[in-house]
Amino acid sequence: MKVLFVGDGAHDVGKPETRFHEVPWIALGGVVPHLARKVVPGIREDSLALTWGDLARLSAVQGSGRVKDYARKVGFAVTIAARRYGCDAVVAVVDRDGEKSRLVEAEAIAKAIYEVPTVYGVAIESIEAWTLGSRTALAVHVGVGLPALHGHYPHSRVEEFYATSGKAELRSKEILARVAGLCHQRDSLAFREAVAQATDVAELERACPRGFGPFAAALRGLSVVRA
Amino acid sequence: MLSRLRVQNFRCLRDVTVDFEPLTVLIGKNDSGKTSILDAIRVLGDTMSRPIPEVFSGVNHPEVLSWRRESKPVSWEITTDRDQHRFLYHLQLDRSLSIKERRSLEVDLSVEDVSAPEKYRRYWSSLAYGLSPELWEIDEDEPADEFYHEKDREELDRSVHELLNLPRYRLDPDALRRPSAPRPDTLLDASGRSLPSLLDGLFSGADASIRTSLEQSLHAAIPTLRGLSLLSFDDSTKTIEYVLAGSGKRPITIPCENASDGALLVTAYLALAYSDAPGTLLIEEPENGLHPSLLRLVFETLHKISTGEYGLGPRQVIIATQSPLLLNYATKEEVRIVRRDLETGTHVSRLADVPDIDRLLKGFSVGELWYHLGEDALVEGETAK
Repeated sequence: MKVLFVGDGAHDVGKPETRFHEVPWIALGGVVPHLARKVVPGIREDSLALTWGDLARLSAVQGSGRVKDYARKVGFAVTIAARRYGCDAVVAVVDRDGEKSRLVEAEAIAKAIYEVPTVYGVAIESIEAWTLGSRTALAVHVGVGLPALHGHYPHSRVEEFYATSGKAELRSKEILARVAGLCHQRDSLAFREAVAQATDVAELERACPRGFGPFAAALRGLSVVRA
Repeated sequence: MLSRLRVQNFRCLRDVTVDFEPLTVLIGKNDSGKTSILDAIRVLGDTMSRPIPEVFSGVNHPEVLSWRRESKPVSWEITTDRDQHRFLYHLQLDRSLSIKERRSLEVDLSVEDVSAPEKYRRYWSSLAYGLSPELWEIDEDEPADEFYHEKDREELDRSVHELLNLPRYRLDPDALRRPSAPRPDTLLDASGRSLPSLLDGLFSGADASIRTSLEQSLHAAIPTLRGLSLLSFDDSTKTIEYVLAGSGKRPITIPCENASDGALLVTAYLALAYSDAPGTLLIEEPENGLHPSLLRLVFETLHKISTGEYGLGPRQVIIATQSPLLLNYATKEEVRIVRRDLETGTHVSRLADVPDIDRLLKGFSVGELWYHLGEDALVEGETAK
């Protein structure tokens, strides 16, 4: 199955291999393609990726009236996926960032434009949860035991973590930076990809029951449909 | 109005047919053939008033101009529509610069073919003689106009007039700001350098209402401006000043150097619309140098010129653009997608002919559709998996 991945940035969907920002690029990197391939091994290597920012809106007005940005951009994604890049499906992931209605309208809008199987993933509150929720993989990668890792973020509900949270113990990016420092690394794309590659999907589904859980289930449904 | 152009073996246009509207927008990648289409019209227009050897010299010689420098003749076939009349004209040029011409006139869709290549050539020359007397020699022994009905002559005359002297405008706001000396004609240089002269010619002409109409149109397009004045540097050079709206009995003017690029461009397009210079307007990349917020103003100005809302009457406009933002203001009927294949040359498709265009336009504006899908996916539809 050839998939077009859409996400917020490089941590989600990787980045182009070339110096020139060629869009879309082959989806070999990023947390989402790695996790998605764990759930659906049949996702092809030539699957593609781009960011929401690449789906530029060039007009405030469209034929059926104004709709919210993400809904419209999902429309762009499904159309170019099917019509330009020969993809079988779109996997669209966005950080919730506290906005509870994100992507809610997107599905209806997208279907009205082009019939392409689309899986929507909402990272709650942000994509960092999909790394911090993979405690076993994270502990192995940084070379500490689970109890030691637990000491760095004892709060178990990673879907409450947020980069700009008022509570220091919930600031996801700061926590990831500290954890990466345990093995003298930075919280980088390569760091997150390594954790994603080693992630136990079932563990992550349990850790992120509102975000990654439904996303993984939808991905499995997609693979059943395509089979 | 030029309604159809078919060109063969002209640069990258191996065999291309383009249908035109009162306003047509050509879109496509660099090197797809948009400019060649405009130039094919321009060069054909040149043949109406200048000797063939002069038009097709240098880089325009058929040996250089032809598709892949092959020896096949270059040919043009145009269809123009006016009222109930359809005029067809065909010109073929070979490497030795010998030409063949053919014309026919359809009236109420019935075809009256009055073609007679050699006689017609002389008739054509006699028309051109009136425009460029030094360039032509007329065979007085065999006046060709005996061959044609008076009605045909009038139709031909008007059709020729529309195509004469067509610059391919690529207006540069800095060039538009330059002072210029009066010139005998009221033509605008392709980059816009002679705008003060063109305005001077219009304002000093017999019809005083032109100035009023032009200034009213300018004010309608840019409400902060009320009018124009031409300031003399010396006896022979003038520059443009804008009169600000709301400045009462003592007009406040600003030099064109301080006016916006959009104001200069709209002024130039309006000057073209109100000038008596003949022809379709061929405009390349009108978005150049413009802030995106001004694109709508420029496009609407050109649209109103094409409908006759601005100017002395409807004037056909053909635009080549690289701007999806400009394209957002066009309708699907007005857009032509220009693509180029290495083996078969340039191809042109109507956006309105894309089978699922209405469904696509539910989610995209016209500019977004082009930007996100690109030309091939747009025209060819769903790609093979």
